[in-house]
Amino acid sequence: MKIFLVIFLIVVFALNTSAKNFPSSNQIALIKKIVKEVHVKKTADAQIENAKVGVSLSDGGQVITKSKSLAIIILTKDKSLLTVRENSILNIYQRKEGRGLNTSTNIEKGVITFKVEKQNVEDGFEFVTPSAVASIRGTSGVLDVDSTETDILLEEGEVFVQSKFDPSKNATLNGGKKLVINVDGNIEIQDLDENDKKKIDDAKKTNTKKLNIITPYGILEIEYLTN
Amino acid sequence: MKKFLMILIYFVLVTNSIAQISNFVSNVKIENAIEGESLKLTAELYNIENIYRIEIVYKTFGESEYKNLEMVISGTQATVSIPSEETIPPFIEYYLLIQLKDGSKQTYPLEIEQGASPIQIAISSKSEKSNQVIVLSPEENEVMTEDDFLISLSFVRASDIIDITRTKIFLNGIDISSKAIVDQELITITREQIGDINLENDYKVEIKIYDKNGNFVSTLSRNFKVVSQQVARAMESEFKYMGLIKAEARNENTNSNQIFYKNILADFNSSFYEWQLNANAYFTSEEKDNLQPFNRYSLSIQNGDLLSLKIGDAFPRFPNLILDGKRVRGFTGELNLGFFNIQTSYGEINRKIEGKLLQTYSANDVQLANDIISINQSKYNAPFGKVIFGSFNRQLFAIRPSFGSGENFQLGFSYLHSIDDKNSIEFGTRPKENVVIGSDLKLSFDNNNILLTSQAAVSVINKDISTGTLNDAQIDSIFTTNKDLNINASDVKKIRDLIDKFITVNQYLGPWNPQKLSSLGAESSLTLNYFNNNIKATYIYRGNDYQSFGQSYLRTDIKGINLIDRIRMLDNKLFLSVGYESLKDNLQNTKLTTTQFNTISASISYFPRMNFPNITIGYSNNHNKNGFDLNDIQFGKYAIDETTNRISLIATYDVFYLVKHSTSFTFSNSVRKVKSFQNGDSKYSNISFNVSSYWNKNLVSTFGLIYNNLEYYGYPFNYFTFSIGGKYTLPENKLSLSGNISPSFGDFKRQTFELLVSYNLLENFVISFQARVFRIPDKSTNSIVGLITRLNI
Amino acid sequence: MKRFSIFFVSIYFLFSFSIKSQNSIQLVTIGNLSSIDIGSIILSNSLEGQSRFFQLIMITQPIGRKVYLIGRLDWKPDLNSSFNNLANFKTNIFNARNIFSDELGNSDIKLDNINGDKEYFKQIFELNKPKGIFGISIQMFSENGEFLDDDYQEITFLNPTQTFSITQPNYNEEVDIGNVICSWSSVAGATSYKIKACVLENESQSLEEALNSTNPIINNYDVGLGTLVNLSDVPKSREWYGGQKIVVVVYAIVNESGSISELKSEPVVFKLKSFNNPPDINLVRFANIFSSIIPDELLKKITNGSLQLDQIDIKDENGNKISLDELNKILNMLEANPNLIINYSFKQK
Repeated sequence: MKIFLVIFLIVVFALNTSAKNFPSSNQIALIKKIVKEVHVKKTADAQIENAKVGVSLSDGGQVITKSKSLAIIILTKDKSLLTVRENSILNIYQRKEGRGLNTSTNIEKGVITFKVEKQNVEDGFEFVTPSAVASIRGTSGVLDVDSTETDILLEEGEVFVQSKFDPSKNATLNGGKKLVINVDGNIEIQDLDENDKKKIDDAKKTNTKKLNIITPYGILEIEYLTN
Repeated sequence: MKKFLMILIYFVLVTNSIAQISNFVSNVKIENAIEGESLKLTAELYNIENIYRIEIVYKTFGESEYKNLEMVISGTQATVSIPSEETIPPFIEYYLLIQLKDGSKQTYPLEIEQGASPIQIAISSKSEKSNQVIVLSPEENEVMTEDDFLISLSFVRASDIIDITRTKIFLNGIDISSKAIVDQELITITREQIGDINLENDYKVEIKIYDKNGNFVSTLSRNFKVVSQQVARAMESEFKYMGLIKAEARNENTNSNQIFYKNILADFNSSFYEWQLNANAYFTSEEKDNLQPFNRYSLSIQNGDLLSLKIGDAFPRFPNLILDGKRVRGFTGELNLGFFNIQTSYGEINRKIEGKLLQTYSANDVQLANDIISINQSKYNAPFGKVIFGSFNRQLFAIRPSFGSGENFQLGFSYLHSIDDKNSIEFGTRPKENVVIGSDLKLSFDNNNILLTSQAAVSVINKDISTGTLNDAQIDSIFTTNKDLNINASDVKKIRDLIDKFITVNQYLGPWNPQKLSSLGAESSLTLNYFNNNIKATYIYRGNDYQSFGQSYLRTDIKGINLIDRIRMLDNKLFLSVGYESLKDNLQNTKLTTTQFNTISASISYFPRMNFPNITIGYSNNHNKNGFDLNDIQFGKYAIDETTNRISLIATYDVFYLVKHSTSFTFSNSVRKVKSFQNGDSKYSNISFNVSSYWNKNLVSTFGLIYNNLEYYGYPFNYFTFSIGGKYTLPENKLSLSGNISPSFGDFKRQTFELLVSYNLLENFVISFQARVFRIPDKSTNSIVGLITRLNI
Repeated sequence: MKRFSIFFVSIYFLFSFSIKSQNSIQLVTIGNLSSIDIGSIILSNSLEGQSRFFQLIMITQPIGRKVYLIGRLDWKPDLNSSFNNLANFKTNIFNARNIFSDELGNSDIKLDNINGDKEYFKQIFELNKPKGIFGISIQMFSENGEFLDDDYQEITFLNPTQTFSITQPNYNEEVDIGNVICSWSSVAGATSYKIKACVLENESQSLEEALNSTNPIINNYDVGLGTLVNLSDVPKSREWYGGQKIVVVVYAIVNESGSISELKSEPVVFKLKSFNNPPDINLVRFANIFSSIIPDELLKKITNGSLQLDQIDIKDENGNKISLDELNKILNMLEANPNLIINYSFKQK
């Protein structure tokens, strides 16, 4: 019986250990487009460098966008798209679990536009912010994150959101709704209003356009983002 | 089961292909009949000389409507690709429609119209294996810029039997696999790997996947396009257009003289990819035969900065010594390749306007006057007539080839020829001809912080070409009779023959002293932008005979320097500007004395960006003097000695009391002292105060006061004006209403009432009305009343 | 003998006087002629197209008497030199009548004998135009050599050029409608000055185009020889009003041989001060959005209304014009979300 117990404990321990040490996958994402100043860390241990189109991110990779900058990254597993807007920091992780690939993006601050492809049964995708964990199965919207609060503006699909510190505080958010969760786990859900829709619309703007204002005193050139 | 299906499809295809008998199509090859991949069809043709056009008519499974696509005929083949989004299993039905040159049509297979069946192409589902490889980039039909160029495949989902390293990538048929970076489960090819070549093109990328044994597994393909940044933007909407039609009717009543102006402007702009087309027309009631034209019209086509072609009215800008701001009715164009550019303009700059014969004279009673000329005696029964001169038709041709893009370097050469058509009118005087050649240079270094620009031009002018080029006899006569001229007649003939190709040669051709630089125009400027200083030093030289018909208002017979320094201080809050100009005339010693023109100026501006007024204080001193003595009995009347001193102060300040009030205060003072026969002394002071109050986002009111104290030619002239007005805009700018009353009292009496209304009747249709009444007590009441309609398309 | 002599002399003088009174020549030059083409002073037979700069009025008894002329041209190149003989000529015999200078050598009146000073001619050719003071003397003789009359005139060639400039108002200066002082530097040799002022309809219009408009505010108003005028005092063909930009040019009128030419000053643009020009709300919005990048001076012009929307051109990255409506939409978007602005720069002219 003792032996049985020992074996049982060993097995449980082994299983637990292996569960926590699933192999990380290789490249998780690829930089598809950059505007202005974007920095990346290709892996958790790599140095920060200037981002270039085609650079891949592996487990622990990081994208940092500076003021007026953005980066579009594409997930290698299913072509899901994440647009990292200005002044944002995003870390990306991915674990192989059996046949599945579980992707986790840790957003410290900033705004992320997402269009996540419908995940296979065995796959997973979640956003982790200072206040929430949002699990996504296939949806699109905008995530606005700061150190105390996370806003999720969902265009379509469904997101399960739970407080990072108190998983009992959770909610399911559907398309057309907005969810606000703070570090205390307080959750508010409401319909997307005009401002929210506008915010989603603006956050989708990744093409640059120019406006040249030619005055008798000089020319003002403005570059701005648009759809 | 799958095999059975494939065999069945094969049989269907083969049977279909064999069954058709056509006079023009021998067979049709099909490539890539796979779901979500673009499907390529190639028809082998014969009797091609009779074929005018071939279209494929097709429909996907379940659709009732057929679609058409034109096939590209090349040699004995016609090809077409059915877009990937339409390659949906299980099949596509199609037939070919062949239009013959004799106007008749035939189908392949034959007799479709009579009920024959179209051909079916089976579309296979994507193989699971190819599904395992994900094309991350490009998307099908993606348009990307060169910087965003990215081909990338993810093998994250690929089965273990796939050998990523054996993957072959073909770009428009060329194997670029060697350029690919294979990194674990990812293959990428970026702009960097492709190398520094121009990538702008339509592409098809084909990816062939192999297993670890080297066996071919599947093919993936994507069509995409690489464009320049500019084109990428343009393509967001490939065809854009914008138009404006503006019509105005305005009645002006000035001293009981009524003039009714009517004009209409139509402006149409469109763009297609990088091409822009612009058509512009302006018609006005002011167009009169006895004046230069006032109607304007033009049609232009433009490709970014690369190419521009314009017919109609244009205002070409060449180096300003040569052609600047002149209206040329004809053709104007430019091609800018960067390393080589060319700019040209050809057309009419003056249209002919016939003069008027006022009076005739016999030989005995004729007087000496510039407007009395010889006239056609048989036509007018008198040899002389007093006339109002008309103006000749004047044509201009200018061309400027240049080298370098102008970003850091450009060297240009200009040639201008302009001539009056001496036969275009009867009563004209001294038709002229002008040739100018010039060159210009721009050099910049250190991100434009050092900028050197230079231009030089030499002109030749013939001030009277009415008698044409001198003939041999005339040359002999001049240079034989006038031996004192010390010029050999035969040399003159040789020079004449040479120059006559460019300009009419006679006694009015000049200058006669080119070696004295009398017809040289040149200027050079150096700009330095360092240490918060922007210093510009310019040297100008314009000989007294320099003249270009492309530039009517150029100051000539002048040389000297102009220095200006703009200094930014205190984090761009304080600006100091100082300038000095010293010019003098009489460059070729053609005048009895030399005049010196000196100007110094300085201004200081303070923009504190805090709760303190923005202030600008300016000073200038201008002094002109020539060498004639005011007391000289004969020449004192030509003496010039004049000095003008001016100071000004402008202060603006935003006051917040209930709402924001923008206030401005200005003071200026000018004193001019003239030592001449004419008492041109003058002095004035002007004080004004103005406040604009922003009551809400739709209402602004204005209030102003002005006091002027003048004295000129010894007479005082003082007056006071106040003004009150406002502007109200309805939300969303639907209606804008502004009005103002401003009476002046004192020596200047004038009362002004203004009302302006603008109403957006529709989103793109605006009507504006203006009514301005000017009452000048004891004199007249004048008015301007007008209506403008403006339609944006 | 003495008496005889007195008688003879008296008779001679009387005779001379009577001849002179019956036969006279008058040299008339164009008044205030300040410049002449060098081609006009070439003395030659068969040279067509010479411009006229003097006229000879001949009265003879009998009318049309056969005469010939001897001419002399003297030149004083500058104020401090003296007259030097430049050229002499003699005509063939012709029937006396009124003639213009261009008929000498280019009609039945031929020049038989021309001689001159090579060195002086060279100097004049090197100047490309006669300069200084020219003395012309013409003597008329009967066909048998009897002196009939003579005349002498001087012409001063000041050779004015298009050198002068408008000293007031300054370029782009804002002036009050009642106090538009316009002054310019004098042109020695100008017979008068004219002023033209037109409205500059928009910033893209060239100044020359504006000056060529049909409806000038001031249309070639002759100011005489003064070099200063208050334009608000000058009769106008149309009213002007605050907010308008005006282009003004001064023409110095100069008599040349064969034509009257107008030397043009470089045009100057000024603006009439307006109180009824509250800032355009769209522009103020625009200025608020871009206040951190627009130079203060421009910002000021926008907010005080001196820069209006019609003075600016708005284009997209491809050079296509953007309509006001489109601009509004873009401004709406950028105002609501300034984060969308990723880059901006201002290139001062």
